[in-house]
Amino acid sequence: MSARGRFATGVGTLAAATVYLFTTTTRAGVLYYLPTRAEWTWSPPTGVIAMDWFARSHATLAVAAAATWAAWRWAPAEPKTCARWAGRLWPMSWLMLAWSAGYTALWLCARP
Amino acid sequence: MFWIKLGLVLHAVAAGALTGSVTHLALVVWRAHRGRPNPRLQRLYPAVALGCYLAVYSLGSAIYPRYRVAVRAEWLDEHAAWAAVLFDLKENLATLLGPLVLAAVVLSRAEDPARPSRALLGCATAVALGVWFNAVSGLLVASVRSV
Repeated sequence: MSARGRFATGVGTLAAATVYLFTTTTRAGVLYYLPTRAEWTWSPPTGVIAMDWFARSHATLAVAAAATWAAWRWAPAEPKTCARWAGRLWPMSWLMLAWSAGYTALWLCARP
Repeated sequence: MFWIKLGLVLHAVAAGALTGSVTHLALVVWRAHRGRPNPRLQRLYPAVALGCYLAVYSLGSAIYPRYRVAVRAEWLDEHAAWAAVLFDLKENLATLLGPLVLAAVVLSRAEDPARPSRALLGCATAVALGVWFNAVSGLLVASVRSV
């Protein structure tokens, strides 16, 4: 149970951090919200305030929940295998989270 | 305007409750790690934290567009750019904390309360530090035009 939990949450956290970093760095597939027009668009017009946070944030949280559930559901049956994978997944999750936070801080501070 | 103000106040109240719950969570998990577990609180605080996180997130999402236009675009970008950057940093950090809050809930229910894993210790500590950073940041940004 414990190893299964660590495995599932490790997968969920790593998947969420990966989605966050990918959508932040590439802006690929990000839906923008235009608050002055109350509209959603894939390609915001220039000179109009466009918010990409909603799509990025919702996608990150949705992937975290879905990946955690899926990993719990289809976790390896053997607890030792689960524990071994959890031991590999969590360091990668922390690394990806730190990378995401660091990239975000640098990106925001460098923004004109 | 009334609903936006009400949303902001409720957002702040929920953020206060979130800060309290994640701070207590970090403390009880560290205490359990040192051999003094409290199974009831180790399961209660993550659930409270998740509820508060969802409330803070939902209310923040509802008032964010108004902030982006009426506060940031019309005032902060010109007079206090540092506050606009700090606010965006806080919003993005809040997103990254979500998976850790979820992980804390799952781990607190899956593990033996007397032997919390390093993953749970890490989640509880990181979430507490992140939420405190966000609470202080939100207070600083909100105080730009007050004092």
